[in-house]
Amino acid sequence: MIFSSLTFIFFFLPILLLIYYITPKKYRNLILLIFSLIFYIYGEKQYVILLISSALINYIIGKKIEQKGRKKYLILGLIINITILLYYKYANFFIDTFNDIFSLGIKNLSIILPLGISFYTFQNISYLIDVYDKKIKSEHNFITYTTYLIFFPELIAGPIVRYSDIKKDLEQRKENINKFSYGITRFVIGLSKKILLADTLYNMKTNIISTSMSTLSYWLVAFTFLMQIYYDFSGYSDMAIGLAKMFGFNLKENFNYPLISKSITEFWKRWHISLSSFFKDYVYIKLGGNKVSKILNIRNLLIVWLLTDLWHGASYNFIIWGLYFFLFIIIEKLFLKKHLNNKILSHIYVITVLLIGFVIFNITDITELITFIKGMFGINTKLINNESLYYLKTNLVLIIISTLLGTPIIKNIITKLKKGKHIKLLNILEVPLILTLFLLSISVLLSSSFNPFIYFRF
Amino acid sequence: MKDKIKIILFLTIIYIVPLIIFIKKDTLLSYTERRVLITKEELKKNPLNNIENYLKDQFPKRDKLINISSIYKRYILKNYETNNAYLYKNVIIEKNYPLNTQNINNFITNINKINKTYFKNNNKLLLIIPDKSYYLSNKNYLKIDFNYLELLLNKIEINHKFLNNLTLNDYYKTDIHLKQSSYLKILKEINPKFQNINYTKKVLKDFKGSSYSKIPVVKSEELEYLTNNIIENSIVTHFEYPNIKNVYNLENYNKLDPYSIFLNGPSALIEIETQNDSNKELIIFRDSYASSLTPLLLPYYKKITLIDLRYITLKEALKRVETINKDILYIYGTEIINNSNVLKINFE
Repeated sequence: MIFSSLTFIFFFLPILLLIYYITPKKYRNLILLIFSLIFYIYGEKQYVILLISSALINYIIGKKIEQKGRKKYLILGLIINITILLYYKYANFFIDTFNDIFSLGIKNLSIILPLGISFYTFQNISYLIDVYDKKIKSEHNFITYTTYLIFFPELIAGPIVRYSDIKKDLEQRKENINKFSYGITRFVIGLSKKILLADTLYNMKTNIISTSMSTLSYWLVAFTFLMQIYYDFSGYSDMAIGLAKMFGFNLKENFNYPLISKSITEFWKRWHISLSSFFKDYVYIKLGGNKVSKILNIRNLLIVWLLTDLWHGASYNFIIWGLYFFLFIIIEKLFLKKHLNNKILSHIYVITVLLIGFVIFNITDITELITFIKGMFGINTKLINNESLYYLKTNLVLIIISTLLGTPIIKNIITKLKKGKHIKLLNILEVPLILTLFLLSISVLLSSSFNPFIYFRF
Repeated sequence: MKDKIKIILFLTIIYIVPLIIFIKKDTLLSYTERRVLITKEELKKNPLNNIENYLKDQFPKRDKLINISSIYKRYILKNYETNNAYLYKNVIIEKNYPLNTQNINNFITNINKINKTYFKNNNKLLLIIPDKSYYLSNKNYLKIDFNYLELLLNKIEINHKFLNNLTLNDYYKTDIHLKQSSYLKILKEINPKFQNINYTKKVLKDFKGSSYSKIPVVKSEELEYLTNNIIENSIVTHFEYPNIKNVYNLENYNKLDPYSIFLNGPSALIEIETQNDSNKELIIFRDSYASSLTPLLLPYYKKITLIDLRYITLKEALKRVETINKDILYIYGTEIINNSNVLKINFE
């Protein structure tokens, strides 16, 4: 089930809200657990046992780590989690690679990637390491632990929530009108990002790709690659945060206007924050971070980036994508960062690197990828043609809106107005604005049969 | 207070909508989309798989909400096109783009081959009707290069005419087709001997054509049909619908496709016998443009056979039709020529 579906909005959510709020507080986690399982089963029946087993194993190991033989159990837990992830996500990739290198002809395994496995495996890992590091105490209630792991807002597309961030809410949270109201706002904003922007950008992309391509077309498609994934994924995170808020939970932000970054290093601090901070805390810092020699520091960064590539998918383009960003981070670290003082130039640099980077992210076929990048630089391609001019003009408002909303301009205006005399006006406008966005999203959802989320299979 | 109002309104929407959907009687058809909607019966067969489409189909005020989405794309995003269609001079024009030279060349090769193989000694003519995108200005719209298309079509080895003497007013605003009276202009292109005959023009109000739902800001219009004794006395034999005997089936006006009053809509093979003195017979290979033209040809023929190669293969059609000494007329719009892979032509 996806959040931007009528089934979720008009069937699952109202039933859950009703049952949740009429249930006594002490059973509310159980209600969330049951509904999270229903949510998961609706999308993927076959792996629900794997999901529950994963929760049970990590719950037991967590307790063992705390009781005795700590390191041994941590290693066991890490091996189990990583092996499951490797098997489901990378087995066929490795088979294909070995076949390519050694011409072995080994048959692929018939594996379907379990929904949300990358997200819940990382949550398990973070939990075990935090228990081992004594940052948190292990959870003694299986229902509470499983609710943490499979809480439906973050189950299938993140953010990667750490147990320490949610423990208090799991045990003793306060649902109130303010939180619920804020939850509605965030959910509707996320829904609008997904339906009104991400899906519209997707349509723009598919229209352009079906015509003869010019250099301008390639850049327009590159723009849609970057912006679609941003609004798709940040919209999903907004919906997750909003939904969690409706049930009294406080999830951490996963995006912080990454497109306004002035360096690639800064971008990765603002984009998919829960993943970047996972690798930073559990890999980079564990390896010594930047408190080691320059060469070891570069090695640490390389390891982090190789893992980031692999987390995103078992495909060569993801490896190139990770190494591409690793390269820019190293260049910035070594000398470029000092020279990124000019605001305009630094934004141009970041956006150009991102546009090319997300082309690499989106195109899995290496030959197609090379053709695309050649096209972006005018190799064997006309600079402009009728089609590209047409698609630029017809999508100009979408391009402007999606660019502006990628910056904190609206947020800053609202903050300023709130500080001034206009707070009453803002309060009056908020409700109709949110309801308009909600109904507009529903109307576009009704008119369109296309609706897949991008981040589900990572 | 603001928070309470927001919560009450949001909850009202998410609770009232499913209640209405499950309490109200299902809507069976979508007239704007011309399709059957998913009902509770189908939902019961496979609830998990059908629930989303059921909710989408039975959503309260569905058509109005879908219109809002078109308005959003058109007036907020300022998209030139909405649902693959343009609004040009208050006429909905479906996009026919890009030019598919492979399909066009296949069409040309097939027409030439059909004539050489089966109709060597027949009188033959191909009429090419431009789709409405022909009349779009080049600025701000994507349209195929019709000059190039005409140039390619010159490779057709039989007499052929690209009907460039029509205007956008000859077409319906909300439908892809020509008004029937517009065909009177081109009868002489088919045969200079065809004289004007008197018809009674009848109109059906509130016509929403097949393009209407794509940009639902254009008002409904009138659907016209021309009739006289010859047309009314002609007897139609449908390959698929043996019970339909009339040229105009007015019952269809209130069904999913109002335009199917003409020859009962899409049909693979139709024979029409007239009560004329003429001994001439005509075979028309056609797309839907021929549906309203054919009645106007009835006064000049004893029998007209219509073959729609989208629904029957050439081989199957020719097994059922006698072709000797018959006039052959091909009528195709430029959409079908540009998408000629839909025609079931094979020579094996």
